[in-house]
Amino acid sequence: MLLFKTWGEECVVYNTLSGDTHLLPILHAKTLQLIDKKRDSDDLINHLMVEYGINRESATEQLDSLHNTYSSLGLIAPLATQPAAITV
Amino acid sequence: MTNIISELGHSNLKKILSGPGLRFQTGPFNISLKSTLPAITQHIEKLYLQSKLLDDTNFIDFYITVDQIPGMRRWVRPQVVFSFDGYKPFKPLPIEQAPASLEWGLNWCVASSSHQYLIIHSAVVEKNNHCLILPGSPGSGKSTLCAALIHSGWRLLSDEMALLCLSDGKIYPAPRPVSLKNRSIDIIKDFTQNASWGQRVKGTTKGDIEHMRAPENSIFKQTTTAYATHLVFPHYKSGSKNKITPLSKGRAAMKVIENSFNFNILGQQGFEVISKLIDNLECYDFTYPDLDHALSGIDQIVSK
Amino acid sequence: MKSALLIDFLRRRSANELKKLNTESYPWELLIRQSRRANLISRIAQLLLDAEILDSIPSQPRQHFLNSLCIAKANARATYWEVQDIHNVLKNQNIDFILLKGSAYIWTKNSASKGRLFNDVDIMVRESSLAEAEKKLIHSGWMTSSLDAYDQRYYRQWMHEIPPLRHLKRQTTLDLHHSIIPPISHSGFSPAKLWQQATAIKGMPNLYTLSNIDMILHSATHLFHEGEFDQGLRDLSDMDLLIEEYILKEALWNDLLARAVELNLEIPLYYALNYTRIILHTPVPEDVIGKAARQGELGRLHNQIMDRLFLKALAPSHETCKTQGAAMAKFLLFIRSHWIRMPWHLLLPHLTRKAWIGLKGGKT
Repeated sequence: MLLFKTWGEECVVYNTLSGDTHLLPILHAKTLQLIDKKRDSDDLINHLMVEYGINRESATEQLDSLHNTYSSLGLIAPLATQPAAITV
Repeated sequence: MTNIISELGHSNLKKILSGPGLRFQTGPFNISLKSTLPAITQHIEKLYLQSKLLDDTNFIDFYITVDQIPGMRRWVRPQVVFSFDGYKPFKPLPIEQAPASLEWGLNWCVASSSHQYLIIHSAVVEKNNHCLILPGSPGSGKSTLCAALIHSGWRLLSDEMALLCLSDGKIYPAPRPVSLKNRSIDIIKDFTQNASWGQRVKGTTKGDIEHMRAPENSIFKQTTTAYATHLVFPHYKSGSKNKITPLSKGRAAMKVIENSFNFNILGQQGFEVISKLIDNLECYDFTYPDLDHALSGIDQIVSK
Repeated sequence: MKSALLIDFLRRRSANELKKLNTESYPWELLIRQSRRANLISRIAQLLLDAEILDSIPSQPRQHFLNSLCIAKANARATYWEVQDIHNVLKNQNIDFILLKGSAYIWTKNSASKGRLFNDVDIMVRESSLAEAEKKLIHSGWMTSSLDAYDQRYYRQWMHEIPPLRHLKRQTTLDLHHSIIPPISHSGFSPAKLWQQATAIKGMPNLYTLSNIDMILHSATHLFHEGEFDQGLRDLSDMDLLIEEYILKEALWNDLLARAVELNLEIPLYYALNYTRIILHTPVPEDVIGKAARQGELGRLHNQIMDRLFLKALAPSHETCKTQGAAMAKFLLFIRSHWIRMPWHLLLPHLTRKAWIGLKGGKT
């Protein structure tokens, strides 16, 4: 389960399963929240296009890179159960 | 019926420590201490003289022993070992380091089992309802700064561990002898003539150590809790100027987590209590060149 | 001889019995001290919680029990994470593995998971997969312990595991076994039989636990063959709980006895049944003990000697309940455990070497 706490432009994310904490810029945190809620790729790409003001190709690249970062941090590991995010 | 340790007198204290064990209170913890070592009797007599004595009906949190290792080593290179109910968390140390062994051991007992608190590695001081948490990364000068503050009108809640209670969000005082190392010892001895000191312990892994007694008022007020108001990360830098930089709450939260002894044990509860704590704190990085500047800088921070 | 408070408590650990305790006057402080020393404080706390009497205990001792539960919960969380990480690595190579001991209890949430604390994750793979599993784990951030060549050989060639692996980042320890009895001893045991009865975990391909009965036998073998008694009482308590959960409820004694014969583990089973009954009053029927003793072909004199040694070695060791001769008993059993795992011509040099390292002040 991911817990989010936002102060201004920064967001601290806590993974209750791994016990790890990460500091993310708020935009990344919002994207992570959406990934965590299992929104589909199109949704996510559209979201990035709007937030960053970029084209589809760049947004897809961004999404791939975020996916890799989050999974290497253990934030979106392939788990037996996929829990929802909670804002603290 | 004696109430505090100083009322026991030296020979009685020695007898109790070598016999049934000295039962006393320090902050929220009840301790039973056994030791046959003269250095420990001296350490307790000098530095815990105002601690409240407990009787046989009081519950004891930690039964501890600081004593010499028996056997052949007694004669060759005598060693002392700290033990908590028979468990020895540290390797034996040279017998001269007995007082340090006691203080480190007590810190270990608290940090490893007191999970009703989030325990942050930091000093905590209070004055006029301003309560400062000063986390202690190496080179920060936290202990020296803390020692100076508590001789400049600030009350000592702890020099090592902020005990942040999970249920009410308050800091619970646990004032104990302040541990100072190497140059800091001389700096503080220059700074104030009003302090009482234990023996110098030489050759530890951290260098020379001396313990400074917690000021009287901090012991008298050790049941008075406080809400933290400021989080200040001190950085000692010789020759610099005072620099007070606001720290973003996100970064402050991450640094508090890094500096917590038991965050990984508390899990979600730990995260929630830190989030609430940071919500209500003003957070700063503070660089200072010497103690006088540090004290005025701290005053500046709390008067903002 | 009067038994220690901790033993008394464990003997009456059922919720019904615990509810009869006078929570105001019970010597909680003494129980906390003895159980902490035996690494059982969080188990006691969980039993009190299950019996719904934790709230009626005075606040100071109650806080210590609550804190121990906090630690146990964190331990369980960390274990889930470790097992999932290991599973991610091994399932990609289609390597089957069996969770052993504490991690299996926590994963299956069986009765021995109550307040269970442990440091290492123990898993077993088939001998044919051992090299590949080790390689893949090392690639994923697990390091082999820095042991010298002798110790490496000791573990790999003579024991039933590779030297412990340590995760670079998380600093957790993983013990990778290919059997539960070392190949060097001559007991004729075969890990293939364990695999035959292993239970697959739903939703986690390649992940297994031992069958219920095999879990009990493994716990017994670990305690009575491996010579480590620091956690002896804790292991005995595990067995007491597992026997109640898996055997007692449906009276599967004959299945247990038969399986011990099948796996050549008759002797550890006899010890497990005998000592859980004597020390913790586990309700093992008389005739079952008799059968287990006959299966183990243990003579009466042998049993008397072993009783003396094991009862001393398993007693709680705290200043309030010391047992005379416990240290010597543990030492003799330690020698015995090595003797049954290694032939003489290897044992003597091995023990000599360990003693020499000990004298020099190193870690054996």
